[in-house]
Amino acid sequence: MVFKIELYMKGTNLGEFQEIVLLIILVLDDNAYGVSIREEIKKRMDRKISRGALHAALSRLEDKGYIQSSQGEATPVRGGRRKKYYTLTKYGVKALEKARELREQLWQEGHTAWQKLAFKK
Amino acid sequence: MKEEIKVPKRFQQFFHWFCKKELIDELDGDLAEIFHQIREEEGIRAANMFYRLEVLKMIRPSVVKKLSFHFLNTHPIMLKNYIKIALRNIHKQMGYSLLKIMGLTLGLATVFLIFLYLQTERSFDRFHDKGENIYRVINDLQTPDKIFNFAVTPPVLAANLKNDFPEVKETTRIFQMNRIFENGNIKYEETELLAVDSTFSDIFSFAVLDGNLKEALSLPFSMAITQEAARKYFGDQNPIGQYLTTDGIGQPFEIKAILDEVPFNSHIQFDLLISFSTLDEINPPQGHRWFFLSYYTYILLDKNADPNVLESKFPDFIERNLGDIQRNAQQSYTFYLQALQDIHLSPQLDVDFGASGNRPFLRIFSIIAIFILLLACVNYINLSTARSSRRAGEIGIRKVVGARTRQVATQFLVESIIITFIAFVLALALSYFLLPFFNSISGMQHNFGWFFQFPNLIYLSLAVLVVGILAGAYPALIISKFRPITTLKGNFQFSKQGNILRNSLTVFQLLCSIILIGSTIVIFQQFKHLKNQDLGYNKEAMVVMDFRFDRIVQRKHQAIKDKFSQNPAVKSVSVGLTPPNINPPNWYAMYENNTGEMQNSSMYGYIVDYDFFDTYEIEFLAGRKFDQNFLTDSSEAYIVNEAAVKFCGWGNPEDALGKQFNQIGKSGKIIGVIRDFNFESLHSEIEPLAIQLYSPRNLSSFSLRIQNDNIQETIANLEKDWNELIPHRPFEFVFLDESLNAKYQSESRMSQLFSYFTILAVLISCLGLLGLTSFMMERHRKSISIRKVFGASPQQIVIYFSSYFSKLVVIAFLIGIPIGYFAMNSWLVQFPYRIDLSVWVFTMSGGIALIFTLLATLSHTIKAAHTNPIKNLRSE
Repeated sequence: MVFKIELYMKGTNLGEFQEIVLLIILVLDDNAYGVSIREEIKKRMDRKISRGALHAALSRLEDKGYIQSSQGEATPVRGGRRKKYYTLTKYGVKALEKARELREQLWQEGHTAWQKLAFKK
Repeated sequence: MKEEIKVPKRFQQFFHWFCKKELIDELDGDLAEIFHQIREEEGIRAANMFYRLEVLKMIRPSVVKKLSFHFLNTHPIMLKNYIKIALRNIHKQMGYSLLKIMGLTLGLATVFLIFLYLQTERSFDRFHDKGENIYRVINDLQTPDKIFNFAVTPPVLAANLKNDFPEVKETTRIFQMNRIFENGNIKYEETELLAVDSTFSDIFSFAVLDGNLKEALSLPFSMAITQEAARKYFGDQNPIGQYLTTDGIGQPFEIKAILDEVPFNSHIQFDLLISFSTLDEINPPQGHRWFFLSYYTYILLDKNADPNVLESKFPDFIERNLGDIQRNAQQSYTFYLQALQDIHLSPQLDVDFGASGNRPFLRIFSIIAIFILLLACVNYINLSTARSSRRAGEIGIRKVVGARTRQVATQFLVESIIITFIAFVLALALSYFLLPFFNSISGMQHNFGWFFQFPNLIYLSLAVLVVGILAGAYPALIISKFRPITTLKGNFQFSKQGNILRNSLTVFQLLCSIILIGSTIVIFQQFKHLKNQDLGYNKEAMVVMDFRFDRIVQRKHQAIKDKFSQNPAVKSVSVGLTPPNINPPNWYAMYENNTGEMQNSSMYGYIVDYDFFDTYEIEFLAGRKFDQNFLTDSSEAYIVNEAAVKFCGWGNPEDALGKQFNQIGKSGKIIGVIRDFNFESLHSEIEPLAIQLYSPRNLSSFSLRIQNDNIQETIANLEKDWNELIPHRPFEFVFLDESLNAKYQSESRMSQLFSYFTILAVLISCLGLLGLTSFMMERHRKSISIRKVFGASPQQIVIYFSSYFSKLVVIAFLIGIPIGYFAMNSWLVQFPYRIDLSVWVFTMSGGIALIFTLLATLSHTIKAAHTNPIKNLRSE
């Protein structure tokens, strides 16, 4: 645990994909497991990712302590295999907040310049 | 309602195999769910496609489980248990364990020895510090009708190479000599004497024990000597500063450096080194010549230079330096570079330095070693699977108590590694005892301590592991698959596949044995054929003395001849240049062709006296011998062989008489034609030969035909005569037939080694057969008993089982004939004098295989056939 806090304290930045995965887990609330996360990413971003790639991202997030997992129910369609649900930890929430703050700060500072560019005809 | 999911099964298995255990639930379930979804939306094909791709994309570090050898992960306590059970089993089934261990011991020992042989051959010339940049210059010399591949080069080459090419850092020349040296009364003929340039010590790294090698090789009349050679002359005195004298040279040689003994794995061998500056004082200087081939040239290339680039510059170099000289002489050189470390295993060149290794030999023996080891592994596999029924109960219990398949497999692997280890220790001991014997056959000095040098011990341990796994993997796989229910119920049955496998492995063993037996017979026949080949002269009871152009002997040759002739045990004496055990020189020659013109050529030359043809009993086809009554014979008579008549296109031997002939500046006529006799070796066809009478300065050897009895006494008398007349030169002789046989040493070694390997292979196969029969008899206990109850006689039962094994021999035989025939045919092609390969050789080897098969199986079958049927049937 010390290890994970340390990572957070160091201010490990979220990768873009990791940030999206965290947000999707947030959106899915208590129905976030492999299939639904993948489906949601596909639906919202039109981006097909392999289950393997998703697993890599999830396991990295779990290592960092941003998410935690719990065993879920098994269904026949899964061949009797149990689901694994993911939820955000408070570190995960903090990391998202921090990412958001950073963006907003950048937006504010860049506002004037943005207006110039966006509304220049 | 449960819906059945048909994900691609193979891919799922594959996924389960590589996926971390704790992830399977989540990932496999997710994949299945998505698969199902896609199947409903897009159909089964898209779903299958998706699934396969997804599985492949799962191969990533976070998913794949850590690479682990299960048996390395085995808990120490279990390992202890495995070892204990393994040892108990080895002990309990001592007979079978011994068969397995013996087979593997023989196989491993063979591989060790051959590995040793290989390493020794590869170790040649690798001890020089700059070895990787040292090259020898060799050349092809194209004469009007022949190409020579010479290892010797023109004397002037070295200096020119160094001048013209900056990348040639240093050059040295080596000239082989022999002289008699003396220190007071102590006198030896030194045949390992080299004259070298002073740069010799800059290129090669022969160990200097004392003194200054560079100085010894620069100053005239100074020398370097090996410690061993120095001891002969000076005993325990320090040789530095001492002098050795030699005949005909007033000035003594001062010893300026002591060298350690030359390693046997150096192709450059010497006892004494003198400088080229000395050579030029005692011989007419040759340094400026382009057409005088006696010197070996070695160069040290710059570290960054590419030998191929240098080689490609040689044609220009030749044109620049000797283009015109070549055209005048109608001869042309092509120079090549040969890496020092490749010299030993390259084919022997004309006038090569030292004997070279035999690459085909190495290849053949490595293949055989591997096959013998395979035979041993096959034994292990056959015996283990055959005996596995004994272990069925144990495995059943282990599995019921909770052992996994992999654990059982590990257990059996541990067992096979233990057995291999025992065999390994025994094999080391065996090779230790066989080493002196192996050294004498292979003609090398292998050292047992070599096995324990750093990398080799690792190789050997790895070999144990590999052999253990190779032999144990299949039995472990099969045995660990036993299902506990069937094994524990007691009606354990063998699968048919197991039988087929065992039979084919047995056929494989028999096949190897048959091919090896056949090959051995062929090699022996060929060897005998070479030895008994009619050489065209009588080689029996012939004593040959080579006096190496000794001036004093040349002067006194007539007196020596007369003295020898007085000995009643000597039938006839001849003096000449080269006896048939030494290759004659090849000289420039001119002959009159059928149109009457003189034509340039080159031909081997013999120089003989009047008694040569009688002494060697050579047959004449036309014309006459040299005759003292014809005064012109010594100045202008030539006798040629049949091959020369054919070569010059003269037609019949009679037509050759009177033709003009000219060699080494002596022009004359052909006065006789002899039947071809073999003056090189039977490895090559008989070449054209011209024979002329001697002048004393050409003489170098005596040939004596002696009585076949009391040879010891005759030799002693001859030695006495020699020492009386020629006190300065030791009496040295060889028997011609023995010396000739040495030319077939490589065939002799091959036939010996081959026969030992064959015996080994047959032995290992017999061990296997022995085990297999006893297993079969055990399994057929009841059927034999029932047969007997119904009236079969023991003989009928023995015949029944023998015919079963005979069938295997026949199959092996049918496969073996073409393989063996083909292999031996391609080996025989290299011999101009070869036996006709007949199929009966392999038929015979099949017969031998059949006999040993029956012998190996008979004891068990007879025993089984004579047991009382009640014993086996009572229990049911």
